[in-house]
Amino acid sequence: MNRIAFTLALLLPGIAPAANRPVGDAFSDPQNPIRKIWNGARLDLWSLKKPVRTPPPGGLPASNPIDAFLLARLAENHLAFSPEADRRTLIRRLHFDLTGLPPSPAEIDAFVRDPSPRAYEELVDRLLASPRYGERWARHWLDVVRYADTNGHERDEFRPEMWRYRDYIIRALNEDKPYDRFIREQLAGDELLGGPPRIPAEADLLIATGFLRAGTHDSTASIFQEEKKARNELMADLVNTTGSAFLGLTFSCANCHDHKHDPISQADHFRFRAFFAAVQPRDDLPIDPVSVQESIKAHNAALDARIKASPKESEELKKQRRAFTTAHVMTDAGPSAGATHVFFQGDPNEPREEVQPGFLSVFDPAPAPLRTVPGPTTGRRLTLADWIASPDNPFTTRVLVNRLWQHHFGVPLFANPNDLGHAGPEPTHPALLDWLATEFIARGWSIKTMHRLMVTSAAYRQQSLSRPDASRVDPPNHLLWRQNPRRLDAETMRDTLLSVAGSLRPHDGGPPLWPPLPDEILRAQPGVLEGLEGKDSGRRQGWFPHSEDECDVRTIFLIQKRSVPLPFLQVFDLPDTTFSCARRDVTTVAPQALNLLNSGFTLRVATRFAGRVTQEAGPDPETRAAHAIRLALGRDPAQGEQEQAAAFLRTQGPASLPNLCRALLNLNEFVYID
Amino acid sequence: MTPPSLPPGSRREFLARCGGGAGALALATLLADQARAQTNLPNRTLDPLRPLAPHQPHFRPRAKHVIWLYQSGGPPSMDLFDYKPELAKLHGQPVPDSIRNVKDKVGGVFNSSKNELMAGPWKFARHGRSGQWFSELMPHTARHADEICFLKSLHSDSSNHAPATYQMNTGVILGDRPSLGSWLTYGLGSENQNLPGYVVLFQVGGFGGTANWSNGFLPAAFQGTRFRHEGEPVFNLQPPAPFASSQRATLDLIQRFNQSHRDAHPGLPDLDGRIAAYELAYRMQAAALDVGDLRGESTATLDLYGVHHPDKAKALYGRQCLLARRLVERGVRVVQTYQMIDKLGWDGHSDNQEFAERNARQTDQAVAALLTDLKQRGLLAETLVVWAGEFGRTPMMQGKGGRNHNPYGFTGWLAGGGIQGGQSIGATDEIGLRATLDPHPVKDFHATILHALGLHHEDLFFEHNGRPERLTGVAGSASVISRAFA
Repeated sequence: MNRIAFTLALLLPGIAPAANRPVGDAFSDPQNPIRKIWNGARLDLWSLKKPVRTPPPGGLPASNPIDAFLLARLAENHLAFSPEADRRTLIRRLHFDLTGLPPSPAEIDAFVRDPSPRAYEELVDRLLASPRYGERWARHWLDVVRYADTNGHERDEFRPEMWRYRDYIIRALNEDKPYDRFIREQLAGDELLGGPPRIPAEADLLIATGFLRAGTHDSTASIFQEEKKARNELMADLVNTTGSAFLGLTFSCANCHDHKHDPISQADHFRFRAFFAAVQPRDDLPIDPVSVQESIKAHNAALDARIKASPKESEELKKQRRAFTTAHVMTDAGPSAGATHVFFQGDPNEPREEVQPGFLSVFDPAPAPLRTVPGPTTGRRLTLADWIASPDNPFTTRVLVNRLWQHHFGVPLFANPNDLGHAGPEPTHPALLDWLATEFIARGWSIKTMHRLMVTSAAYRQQSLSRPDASRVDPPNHLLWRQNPRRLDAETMRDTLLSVAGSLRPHDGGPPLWPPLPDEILRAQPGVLEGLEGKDSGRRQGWFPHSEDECDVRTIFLIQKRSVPLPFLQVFDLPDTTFSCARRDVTTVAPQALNLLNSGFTLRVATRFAGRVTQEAGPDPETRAAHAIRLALGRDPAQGEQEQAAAFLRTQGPASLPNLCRALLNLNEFVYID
Repeated sequence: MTPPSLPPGSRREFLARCGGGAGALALATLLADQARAQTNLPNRTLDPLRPLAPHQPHFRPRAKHVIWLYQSGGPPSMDLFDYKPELAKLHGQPVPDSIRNVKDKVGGVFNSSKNELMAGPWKFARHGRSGQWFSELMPHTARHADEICFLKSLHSDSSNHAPATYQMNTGVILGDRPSLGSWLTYGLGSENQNLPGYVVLFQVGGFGGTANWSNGFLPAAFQGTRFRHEGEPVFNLQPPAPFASSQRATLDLIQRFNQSHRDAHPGLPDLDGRIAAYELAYRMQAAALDVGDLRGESTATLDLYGVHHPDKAKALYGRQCLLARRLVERGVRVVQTYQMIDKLGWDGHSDNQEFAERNARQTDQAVAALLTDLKQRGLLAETLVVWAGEFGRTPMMQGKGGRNHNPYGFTGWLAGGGIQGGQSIGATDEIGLRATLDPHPVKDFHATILHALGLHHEDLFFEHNGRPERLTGVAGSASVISRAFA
C-alpha cells in the first residue's frame, strides 16, 4: 500500500509536492514541516510574532512611557504607584543596581542635599559611566553564558586565558557596545575579522568567541574512547546556550525528540547544530596585532640565530624568547564543515537523516543561505549571528530587555528569561515588553539607554514597602504597585562587606585571583589533589592561591573553578555553571547564617571594619556605634539603636567592637535593599 | 522575593515559631496536616521557616533513612561479590568472541585493555543460610550475607569517573542536577530540624566534586552538608575565641535590630525566614557538636567500627560509618559516606590486587560494623543501607595486572529498610563484563531507593524551566526493582 502511494506520488504531479516551489512558513504553508508535525497547533505562541509597537497609553500622569504602560494596567485594577522613595533609599538602590556596590556615607549625604532638579538623572549618568557598572553587569551576563575559568569534570583544569573573555564583557558593557554587534562578536568574531588582528582592539573579536568556549569540557573523554560523546556534548552545549542566551528558546528540549511545548522540531535542533559543525577550539592562535606578531617572530629568530652561534649562552637567551598572546578562541577547522545528521533519540551512535544549517523551520524550513566571509572559515556562525541580531528576529530584543527589566525590578516581564516558549507564563505586560523591544532597536541597540529609561521611571523610584490595599488585589506585585526589595546576591554581598570595611582593592582585571582555601575543602574534588601533589603533568588541576589581601578585589575577578566553588559564594546561591542561568535562586538556609557569622572571611572583614571605625570615630562608644551603623547601613541610627549598640560595646569585652561590626554585617537590613 | 505565604503573626507567635518549644510543636502538627493535603502536588509548598519539616511519603515506607556507603573509583565486582568461576578458567586467555563482538553504546571498553582475561587471586566461599558468595576480601561483610540483597546487573552510561559519578548521584552524567539525597529530603523533609537533612562525609569527595551532593535546581535547604570526622563537625559552626564569648549577645543584638526592621517592613516573609535561619544556626551549633562527640560511645562500639585502629585510613572510615549511625539515630534523612582516603579509591588501573586489597581492608570491617550496630539498636529495619559506586571494573587486564573501568555490568547491594536479604538480583555474563540477566540502569536503582522510602519516582516532581523534572528523568520510564523487597 505504501509503495503504491509512493509510486503514485511520483507519477501524479497533482499528488506529489511541487519540487521546485520553496516551502513557506508554517503560518501560510501546509507543507511546512512544523505544520505537519503538529497539524497547525502551537503556532499561537506569542513570541513567534514580531514585537508590535503600540504607543504608550495617553491621558496618564507619566512622562516616561514605561510609567504610562504600567499605570494603565494599575488603573484598571484601581491601583496606582507607591510614593517615590526617599533619596537615601534611591541612591542605595541605584548604586547596588548599577554598580553592585554601596554608596559611601559622603556620597549619600551629597545626593540627599543636592539641590539640582536633575540630581537623580545626573547620578544615573554618573553611575552608568563608572567602570564599576561593567563589573556589575558583566556578572549577570557571565551567568547567562555559563562562564567559568576551568574545564569541569574529573580533572577540571584551569583555563589560563579565559579571563580575557570576562574582561571583554566588562569592556563591552562599559563602552555600551551595541547589542547586535555584541551578539555577532561572541558568535562569530573570528569570521567578522577574517584573519589576524591588525590593531590591538581587533583582538577583542577573537576573545569574544570565548562565549563558545566557556562551557564544560571533559578532557579525559579521549582516554576512554568517548570523543564522539564529547563532541556531541559540545554541539548540544553550543546550540542550547545560544538558544537560551540570545533567543530564549529551549533547544535542549529538542535534542532527543520534537519539543514538548514549542513549535521546534528535533530537526531544528540539528539544523542549529549544523551552524556549529565546523567549530574548532584554538588555544594557540596569536591575538596580537600582525605587526606585533612580526616583531615577536623577528625577535625570536634573532635570538635563535644567537643561540646557534653561542650555545654557551643558550639557557640565558632562551629566557628572552617572547611568546604570542593567546586566548581561548573558537574558530572553524576550515572552509567546509562535515555533514550534520539528526541523532535518533539524541544518541550520536544512531545518526539518521542529514540536515543543512537552517533557522527555525516554523519561519523557513529551507537551508539558510550562508554568508561569504573573508577568512578561511565557513561563514556558518556569522550567518546565524546575523539572523539572531536582525531587527526582524522576534525573540532577540525581547529576551534582552527582559533581562534588564528583571535586574532593575526584581522580576522579569516574562517569568523565565531563558524561555519565551509555551512552558513559560505569558508576559505580564505584553504591550510594554514589545514597546521596549522596539525602542531598543530605535535607540541603536544601546543597553545603557535602556538602563537609563528604566531606572528614571517613576515605577523604578517607588518605595518598596508593602501596601495593604494593593497587596490584597495583587499579592505578588505583578502590576508593580511598588518596587521589589532585593537580597544582595553572593558577589554583591562579598563586595559590599569588603567595601564597608574599607578593604576593597581597586583592580582592573587580568588573570583571576585564587583565595587561599583550607586543604580539606580542596579535598572535596579528587582532581585537585592530583594537582596539589604535582602529578597532573602540568595540566593545572590544582589550586594556586594568592594571599588573602591580594584577593580583596571585586568577586568577579576571583577564580571560578567549576568543581570547587568558593564556599562563601556557594552558600549564597551561586548558580551552577554547566548551563546558562537566567535567574538565580534566592534561598534562606542556616549555613548562610553560619557563614556570615563565623567564617574566617567575615571575621577578617569585621576586624578590618572595626579598625576603620576606631580610626574614624575615636574612642567614644556612642560615636563608634553611630559611625559603624552609618557605614554599614548608609543611615543614621534610629531611636534606641545607638544606645543598644553602645551598651553592647561597653559590656562585651575586648572584642566588642569587631563583634558589633560582625552583627551589623549580618543584619537583614544589610542584605536586603529597599 | 517569594510571595507572602505566612500570616503576619505577632512577634510572640513568630518567636515561638522559629525558636522551637510548644509553638513549634503546634506548628509542626499544622504543617504535617497541610503536608498530607499536598502530597500529590508536583512542587511541594515549603515553609520558609521550616523547609525541612517532615513530609508524608506517597505510600507506606519501608525505610525512614538512607545511608549510602559510596564506593569511589569503581570496585571490581568480580573480585568482591560477583563470583565468576568461568573467569578463573579463562585466566590469561582472550575474551571469547561471543562477548567481544557485542556492540556497546558507551566508549570502546576493549581499546584500553588487553585482550587477555584476568582472574583475581582471591578465594570465594558461600556464606550464611542463603549461601551467597563472597570473596575472602570481605570477611566481615560476608557475615551479613543473609541481610544483603545484591544487585549484580547494574549498568551506567559513562566509563569515565566524573560523568559516571554524577549519574550515580544525580541520574544524569552532566553534574548540574539535584542529587538523590536532595530529592529525598525535598520529598520527605527530615526528622531533626536542628541538623541538615542530608549529610555527606568524606576524606576525599567523589569524582567531579561538590556537584555530587548538590541540590541542583531544588531549593538550597536540600543541599548535602558536609560533616567532618574530627574537630568541628560543620564548617563555621563557631567563631574562634575572641568572638565566641559574645556569640549569644551578638545574635541577640542582630535579632533586636532585625525585629525593628521587620516591623517596619510588613508583608515580607523572607525577613522572617532569615531571622529563623539565624536561630537554627545557633541551635545547630549544639546539635552538630553533639553528633561529633563520641565520648558517649562504648569501647565495644568504637572497637567494632575500628575507630582506634592503627591503620589511619581504616580508623577514619570507621569513624565515618559510626557518625552515619549517629546521624540517622538523630533523625537525619540521608547520609552519604565516601570511602576514598586518597584520590584513587578502587581505581586500580595498573595494580588491581593492591587496590582491591587496600580498599577492602579499609572498609570491610566498618561496613559490617554499621550493619551490626544498626541491627542491635533496632535501626536497621528503618534504615536502608546502600553500597555502590559509579561503575565496576573489566575482567580484561589493563597494564600489568590492572583492571579498567566497566559501566556495562557491576554490583551494588542493599540491606536493611525492608530489603529481602540473602538474595542476588540480575547477573553478568560468564566473565563479569556485561549485565545480561535483568539488567538495571541507574534510574531503576534510584527508583528502588525512592520506593523504599515510600516515594514513587514518577510522582516526585519539581517544576523547573517549565518542565516537571524528576530524579529518574522526564523521558522513558524506570522500574522499581521490587524483588529486592521483603
